[in-house]
Amino acid sequence: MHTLTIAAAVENWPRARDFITDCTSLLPLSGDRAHEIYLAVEEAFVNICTHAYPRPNGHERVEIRCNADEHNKRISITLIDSGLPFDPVSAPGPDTTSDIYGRPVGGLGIHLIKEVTDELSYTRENEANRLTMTFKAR
Amino acid sequence: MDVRFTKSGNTAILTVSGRLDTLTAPDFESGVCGWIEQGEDHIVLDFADLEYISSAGLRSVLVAAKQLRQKGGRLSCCSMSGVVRKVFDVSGFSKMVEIHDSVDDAVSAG
Repeated sequence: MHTLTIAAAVENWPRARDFITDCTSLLPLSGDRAHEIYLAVEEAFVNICTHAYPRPNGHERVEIRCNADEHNKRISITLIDSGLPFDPVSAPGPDTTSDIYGRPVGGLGIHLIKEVTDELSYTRENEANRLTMTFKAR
Repeated sequence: MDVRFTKSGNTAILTVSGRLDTLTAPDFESGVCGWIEQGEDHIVLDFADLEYISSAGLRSVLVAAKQLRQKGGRLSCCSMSGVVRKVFDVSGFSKMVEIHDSVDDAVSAG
């Protein structure tokens, strides 16, 4: 298990991505699968940075835990924040059938997370959100 | 992320390479909207060298497509593969935005 704790700021996304790259380097991942993992983590990380802390005081943090299981070829990534309670797992999905005028700008991140993860779970513990995304390596 | 501008007849071809993510999408969006303001009304986004797109990138494509439609213009995307194609498909964007297999197809469709 590897852990990275960084400020909840979108500017830190490259640090989070590099952390995921390092943690998953021993698993056999195709380029496309690696990009899908980055996609899910980016969407979850940016959601926290932009929505979890409506009154920031400069001390907001995101903790990212990454467990790459070489034996079972699975990667489990948990994002933990102490912001407003928010359960992405039960959040309603966007309307992906509306036309270009009817569609609001944005709102797709959680939908993309659900599309690329093999398992997704959320808990609220000790006043913190914990979102765990599991990916099969391929 | 880099954007290269070329012209084929009346069509502006924007060749986008690298990653279109939460940090690079604002630059991409202001670049495309700048060309729209300068009067380009048929824009092809060539994604052959785009390796990654997130919802921030999709949002920018949508903003550009809406701006262009309001001006009576057209935006199309071409040459998508891998995770970029998948993101367009699962988000429903493939059904909303004109998509072509190649730059030549996109230009001649105009």
